Amino acid sequence: MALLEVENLNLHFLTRRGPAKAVDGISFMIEKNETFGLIGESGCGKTTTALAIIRLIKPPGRIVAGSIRFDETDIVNLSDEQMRLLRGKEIAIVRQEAQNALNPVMTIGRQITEVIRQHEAVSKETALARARNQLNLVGINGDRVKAYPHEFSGGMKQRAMVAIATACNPRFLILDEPTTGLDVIVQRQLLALINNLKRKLNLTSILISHDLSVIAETCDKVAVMYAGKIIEQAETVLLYQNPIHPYSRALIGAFPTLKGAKKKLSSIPGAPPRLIDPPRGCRFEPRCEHAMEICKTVEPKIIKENSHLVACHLVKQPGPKDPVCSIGKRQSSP
Amino acid sequence: MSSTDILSVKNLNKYFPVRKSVMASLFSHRKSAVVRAVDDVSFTLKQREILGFVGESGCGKSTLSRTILRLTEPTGGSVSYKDTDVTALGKKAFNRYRPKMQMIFQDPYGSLNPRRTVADTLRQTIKIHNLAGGSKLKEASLIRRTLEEVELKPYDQFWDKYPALLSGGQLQRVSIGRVLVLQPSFVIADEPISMLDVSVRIGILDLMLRMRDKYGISFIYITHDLVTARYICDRIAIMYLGRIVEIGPTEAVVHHPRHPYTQALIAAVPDPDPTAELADLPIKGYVPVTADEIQHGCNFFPRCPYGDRACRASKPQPDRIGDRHFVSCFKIRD
Repeated sequence: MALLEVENLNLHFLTRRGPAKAVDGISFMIEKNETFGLIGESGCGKTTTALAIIRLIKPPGRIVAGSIRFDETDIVNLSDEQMRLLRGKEIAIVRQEAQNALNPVMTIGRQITEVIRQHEAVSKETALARARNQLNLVGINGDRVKAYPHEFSGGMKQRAMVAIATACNPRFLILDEPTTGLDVIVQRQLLALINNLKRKLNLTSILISHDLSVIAETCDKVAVMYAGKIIEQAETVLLYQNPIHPYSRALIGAFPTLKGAKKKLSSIPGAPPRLIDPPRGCRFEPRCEHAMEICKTVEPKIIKENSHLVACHLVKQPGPKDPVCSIGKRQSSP
Repeated sequence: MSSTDILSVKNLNKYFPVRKSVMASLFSHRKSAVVRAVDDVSFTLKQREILGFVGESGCGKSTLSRTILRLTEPTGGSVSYKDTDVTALGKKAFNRYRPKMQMIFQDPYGSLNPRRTVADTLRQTIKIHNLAGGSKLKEASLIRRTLEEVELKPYDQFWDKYPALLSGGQLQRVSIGRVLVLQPSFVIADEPISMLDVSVRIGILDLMLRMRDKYGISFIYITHDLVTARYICDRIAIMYLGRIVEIGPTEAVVHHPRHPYTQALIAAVPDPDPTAELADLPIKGYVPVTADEIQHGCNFFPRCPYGDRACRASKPQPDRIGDRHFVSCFKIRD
């Protein structure tokens, strides 16, 4: 059963020159105990999507349409008060750059107990004991509860973030580029830690990254985002072995590897479109080497092809009478 | 030093003093501590060669590049450009060599003046080094040629643009153009792509490769990312706590790493193939911040799975184990 269902989410940033469509009609669902990957270049809307799920979008950003159903509740319409009960308790987030996400003038222990005492009526002592446990859980000596963030290395700060996020045993964890800016060895240790915790705490999670290999190592399913839209979605193995959309193909083709023979790689020419007035047809058309006439004017619909969901005119688009497949509820029922 | 060597670095050191508090300096008789950011580093760089320096943050690779260019003065050792020992030169005399030894910085958003247009940025360099002899016409044609060389085409579209209007990849191309206009012999590229989007990274690396092929420029490529280092480097040097632990031809280092740290680094690189198994990391712990415990022994000893008494007693010296392949380890592994 799906724990999180995002349907036709539209999120705009209102600017003087008109709304920037940061997230433009995306849909996906995440099953229980699944790790879902969201990959794309910077500015494609992946972090915005993550923040929408935990309702941390600040004005001028606004969810203008669509629904986010967490365990059957549409959180888009929850009041701030109701949302606060959910945030940290049911849905938690590990943000990128722990450096900036931690409070520099508060001890780590205090930042963990703050979350616990926000959601549970426990004494300070109990909360502190749990904070110690949390630190032990992420591989930091529990006695460091009194330490301030500046006393920690980058990897330890990121671990402390994980400790805060998992303090109340949430059911859903958002990992927003958790390893960006970390060294490979520290990154590997952190990914191993997250994988461990997921098993221990039965976590369902969404992992956001621009790094294909991080997603490949951790996620069950992946969605590729481009300019506010999901352009392809499939199981990780399928997407890597047989990407259909030219952008997914180019993205995987632009990624060097350590193994095997050295191969010539090619970058994608041009830059992503501006989200205030995106191309009328397919958003990838100006950079696509397979672009056709129709791509300029008609936006491709997302359809099912060989167990991928893909939005591209190269794949036969449904006629006006054919049912359009959406990545919502309908697909889950057999 | 052979005739094709552009740069020869011998026993280069850069130590930073660790500040003690007033009380500590009054009551303690110990000699003040130092951080050995660059510790006894020696290597040569041939013409048309790309040498990669790979290591985790804090291993001294950026300090090394700054010390080579005398942006910080070395504590000891020498840097020779062709046959001149540039560390022995006075500031004025060294300035004549600056155009030949250039640097590309990590952050293109921060390293370009936001109030200068693209053409002004290049014009500044041309003026300082008097490349056009004061002729406006020659200046303009030089700028045009440079913009075309770094593929900012058509050049008139970029001429009057301010950095705020350009993407990260385009900005980095301007940085490269600013270096290229000086016709340098070698360029140090310090993490030139780590802040760029995945889809444009390969474009910048390919541009560096083309500069090498066309003008015979040598590069020192500084990165934490072994994967991109493999893509463009002829040789790779692995650094750990200020020392080169392994240096050799790229494919030899990547496929047959001999130093335990290199082996760990390679095992930690995430694999973009989702079907691959996660390899176990052979090492534990973190990079120590101060090097007290390793004053006499091998820097890697505290984390090394194979270390014994010999490793604690003295620092290993580079051993030749193959063609241009050197490893500093008492316990060389297959």
